[in-house]
Order: sequence, then C-alpha cells, then structure tokens
Amino acid sequence: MNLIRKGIFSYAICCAWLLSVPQVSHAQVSELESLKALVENMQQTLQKALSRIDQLEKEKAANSGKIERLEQEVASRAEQETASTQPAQAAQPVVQTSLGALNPAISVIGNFVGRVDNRKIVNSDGDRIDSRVNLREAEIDMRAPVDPYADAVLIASLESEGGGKFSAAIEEGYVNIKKLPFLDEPPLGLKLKVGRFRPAFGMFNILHTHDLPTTFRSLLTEEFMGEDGFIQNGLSGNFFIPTPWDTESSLDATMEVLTGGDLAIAPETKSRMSYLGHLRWFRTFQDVHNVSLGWSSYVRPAGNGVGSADFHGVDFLYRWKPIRQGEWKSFLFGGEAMFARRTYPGASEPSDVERAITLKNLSPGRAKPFGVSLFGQWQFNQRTYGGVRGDYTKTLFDPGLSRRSVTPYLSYYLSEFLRARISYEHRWSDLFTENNRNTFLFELNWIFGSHPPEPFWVNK
Amino acid sequence: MKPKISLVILFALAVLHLAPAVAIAQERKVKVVCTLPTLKALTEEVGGNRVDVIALAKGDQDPHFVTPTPVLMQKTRQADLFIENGFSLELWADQVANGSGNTKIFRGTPGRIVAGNGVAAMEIPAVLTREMGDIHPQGNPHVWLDPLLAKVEAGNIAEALKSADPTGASFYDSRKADFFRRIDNALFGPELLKLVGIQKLTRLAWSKELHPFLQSNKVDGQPFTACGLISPASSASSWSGPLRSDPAFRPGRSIFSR
Repeated sequence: MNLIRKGIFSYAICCAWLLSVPQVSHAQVSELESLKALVENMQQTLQKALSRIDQLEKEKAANSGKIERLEQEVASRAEQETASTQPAQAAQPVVQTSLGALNPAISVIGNFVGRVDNRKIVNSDGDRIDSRVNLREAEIDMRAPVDPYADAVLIASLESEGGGKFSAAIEEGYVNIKKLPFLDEPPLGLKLKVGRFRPAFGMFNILHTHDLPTTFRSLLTEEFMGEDGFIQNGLSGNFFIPTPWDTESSLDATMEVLTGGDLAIAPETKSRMSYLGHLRWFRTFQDVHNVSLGWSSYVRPAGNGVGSADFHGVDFLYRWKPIRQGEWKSFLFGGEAMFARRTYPGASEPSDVERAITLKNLSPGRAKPFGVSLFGQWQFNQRTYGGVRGDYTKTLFDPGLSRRSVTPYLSYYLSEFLRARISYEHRWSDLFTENNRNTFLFELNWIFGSHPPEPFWVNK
Repeated sequence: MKPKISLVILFALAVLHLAPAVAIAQERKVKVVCTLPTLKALTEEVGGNRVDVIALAKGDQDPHFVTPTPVLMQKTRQADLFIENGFSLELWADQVANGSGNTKIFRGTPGRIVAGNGVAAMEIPAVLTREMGDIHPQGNPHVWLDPLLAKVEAGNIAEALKSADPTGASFYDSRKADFFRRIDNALFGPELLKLVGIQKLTRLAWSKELHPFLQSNKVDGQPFTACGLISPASSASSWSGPLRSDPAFRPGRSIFSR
C-alpha cells in the first residue's frame, strides 16, 4: 500500500511536473517577451531622450554660436569703431593738427560798403569818397596762447576810404597776461593787457568796425575820439570789485596807462602819458533782463609843452533776451554820453567834415562840449534785426556848433559769418558841408576762419 | 588755583581758536561751476554734500548760445573746478573762464574738466567747411543724452572731484557706484543685469546689438518682448527731426520687458 501510495504519489508528482513544465516554459517565454518589449520601449525612450538631448545640444550649440557670433561681431565692430574713430579723432587734427596747434587761430574779416550821397564828401587826403562802392576794410585776426601765462592777439587791418587806396595798420597787438609765475592767484581776478589795443572808454570804442550795430561809428565817437575810435599803446588792468551782497551783479574796473595823443580831443603826438579808467556795473534780472552802467574818464596831464586834456563819459545798455526764444527775439537799448570841461580849438576833426565855417561862436572858458548817442534794436526773427541810432554832439572846437544825425538800419544775417545791412543816414549840422546830407548805405560783412570772441552783447 | 584757572582759560581759548578753523575745514566744499545743468546734476549725484555747484546755462536755454556776461564771469571767479561738456559745444566757455581771471580754471589746468573725455566721438564731419553750415568739428556733442555716456561723464567728474578733494575719494567712489547702479537698474532692470551683466549690456547697447540680442535669446523659456523702440530702426534713416543726430535716438535703442 505504501508502495502504491508511493507510486501514486510519484505518479502524481510526475504528472504534475509533466503538466507544469509547459506552463513554466510558457511563463518564461511571456516574461522574456515582456522584458523584450520593455527593453524595446526603453530603447525607444532612450532614443527619444538621446534625440532630445541631441536637439537640445544642437539648440544650445546654435544659441551659443549666435551669442559667440554676436560677441565676436560686437568685438569686431568695437574694433572697427575704434579704428574708425582713430581717423576721426585723428581727423580732429583737420581742425588742429599737431603743427597747427602751435599756430594761431586766424580769422579774416572783409567789410564792403556801398554808398549813395546827395552831397560831395571829401576825406582828409582830398579824395572824394561819396557815392561809391568800396572794400572798406580787410582785417586779419590772429590769436594764440603764448605760454601758460599769456595769450597773444594781433589784428592787422587794411583800410580804404575809396579810390583803391589802402592803408595798413596794426589795429590791435597785445598780450593778455593771465597769471604770473610768482602769483598763483591774481588779486580780484586781475587781468593785464600790454600792447596796442582799443582802450575801454565807453561801450562802443572796444568794438571793431565790422562788429558795430551800425555801418559807421556815432558822431559822438567821431567828435571826441576820431573816425575810427580810439586806439593806443599802453598797459591795461581789469579786475573785479566784489559784490557779495548781490550775486546776480558784477562790478569791474579797468585802469589803463596809455601813450598820449592820437585822440581827437588830444591829438598832439608829443604829449606825455595819459590815463583812462572805466567802471562798469552789470546786473541780470530774472535771467532775461540785463542792465549795464558804466563810467569812463580820460585824463592827459600837461607836459612837454602840451596842455592838459580830459573828457568823461557814461554808457548804459539794456538787453532783453529771453531764455527760450533768445535766438529769435531780443531787444537792445543803449547809448553813450560824453563831455569835456572846456573847448579844444586844436582838436582834430572827422575826415569827412571840412571845417568850412567861421568860428563865430567860439567862447573858450564857458561852453562845454557835450554829446549823446542813443540806439535801439529789435530782433524780428533768427536772422533779421532792425534798429535806429540818433546822435547829437557839440563840436570840440566850438561848443556853439552842433551836429545831429539819425540812422535807421536793417541787418540780415545769412549766417553767423555773413551779414548784409542796409541803412540810411540823415545829418543836420551847423557845419554847412554836411548839413542836410542824405546817405544810403549797403554793407556786406564776412568772416572766414576761426571765429574770434566778441563782447557779450555785440549786435545781438 | 591760579595755574589751574590759567590752564582752563588757555584751553578754552585754544578750543575757541581752533573751533572756527575746524568748522571751516569741515564746511569747505569744492566749488564747482558747470556749463550745463545736466553736468550740474551729474556733479551733485557724485559730489553730494561735499560740493557746492552751479550751472551757467539754464535748463531751457540753448547751450550753444549762452551769453558770456560779466555776472557769469563773476560767479566763476572762485571756482575750484570748471566742468564743460566738450566737443566744441560751449564755445562761450573760454570767454567766461578767461574773463573770470581765475587761474585755476584756465584751459590746460587741472581745474578745467572736459566731462566728455573718453567718449568716442560720433558723426564727425568728413570735411570741415562752412559750406556745411554750422557744424561741430569734433562730432556730435550731445553725449549726455545717452545715459551710458552720461555715466562716462559722471566718472570723469568723480575723478576730478577726487583730485580736487582727495580726502573725499572714497565718498565720491561710493556715490558714483551708487549712481551707476541706479542708472543701470533704471535702464536695463535688475533681472536683465543679473542675467547678462552690465558690461555685456553696455557693449551691446553701444554697438546697437541689444535689440537683436534680446530678441534672439530666451530665459527660462520665456522670450524678451519689446515694449517699444525709442526710434524705429526702419525709419531712422528717414528721420528728419532735430533729434536725429542725438545718440539717445540711435536706431535700435529699445525698451524690453519679460
């Protein structure tokens, strides 16, 4: 029984084994298949991941290439820009080369005047100068630093009153001493000028002919100083007088020691030194209104057989120039007055005036020469300025005689460097050679080269 | 007792004597005269309370045509530094400086500062002739309109202040750094600064590549979006307004956001 049981048991075991073997093999196959599918799936996923990595790497490479390319481009452009600015900054030498840097800045000014007169006018050489066209002046302005202590200015002019005759002159030639080796800081901002220059008498004398708001100088200037104003050799010092109580104002004084003579009121060339002082107060109101008041005195002591001479003057200027519209609208009103304390029978007279009159009213010791000149100017637009000047003066040699004129004018600036002007002048005078003279004037002024500085208010 | 009283009095006198000097030394500010209000603003940013600064031109005044009046010369007389933009913009500056009689600010002296030094000139005329009209021979002078170039000017001003006032060097440096940081943040934003860096941004901006650079790059998968262009690149060449030549209106200068 046991054997049977053992046999049955063994048989059952064998059957079970036999039955189970295919199932086991079948299970192994499906597992392999699933594993295979899993591997395939993983391979696909891996493939996708690898392709994604490739794609990302490509994108990254592409982007980094772009960035590198951009950086390279930036660098190369920077180099190019640097290279391009090299000639550009080296092109500055077009303005100022290394050699040119040591040469002066040069400007040339040409001034052409055409006139039509109703009366004959003769100059001091006896030449007629009425009703003609004339290159009145050609001026060469040179200026440059001499060294750290001084700047130099030389202005040579060729002038003509007509007839093709020109006279050459040094209109100004001086050095501006800005500081001294033994004085780091000059007191009161002292500036020294040594040489030949236009003395600081009044407001208009320091202006060159081409800078004047009108074609000719005023009758007042002609009478007291001369047709071309006052030019003399000497030493000039300008300094500030502090005004700490008012920061919007300025007070400055100019003291000058000059060679005597060459002045209408004191023409004697053998005269000794003369002295000139000018005091100016300037204030700005509300940024747009400027007011300037000045006092001038000229004194030449007696000596060398020549008597003393002196004359004095006041000048004023009001300027309205709005901040925003300042280049389009402005207004100027100013003038000068001069007086002397006695007559000057020996005074030189303007070249276009013949003293064709008997000195019937001459009364030395009592009358005093006096004159005034007023002008106003309105700016219509960026280019056009219109104004009028009125002059009144007693003659130096006979204060009983007076001269008057009125001069309306219109200036048109084609540019800062080219100006056309038309004007008319009518004179009333006790000197019959100029009485009721009518003059129509056309003026063209041009500047080429570097532009010299002008006084702060000139024309505009 | 008497020696003690004497010592106390002596000490008090010494203190009283020194106190004003110390106060003056503390209150002594660098006096700066600037030609333009923009330069004044830059100087105040860098100089803070160590400088006393004025501008000669008004904000609404054409800087080309400032009248060199005696009042301007008077105001300039005590200046330690005279700061101008340069590029032949302020042709009136020499007249003011020379007229002041202040030797510290004459051209060529350490007190005369050209803020535009180091800025590469743009639009330099190929030919210098008056036929071209009123030209700037040294190139476009309006450099301060570009904030990045204004930084260059502020840097020059800081160096000048450090030379004039060496004891305040660290003060000026820190204020300059703070000013630069504020400009950079305002111009590019802190996020862009962190991602790209100010040096690269500056290079890209100066080379007019900032716009394409930002357009072609993404951060965190998000592209930069141009909110607008100060001057459209496509129409820049046909721009005929007066601002065409200004550096701030270079084509491609854009405002970006994310």
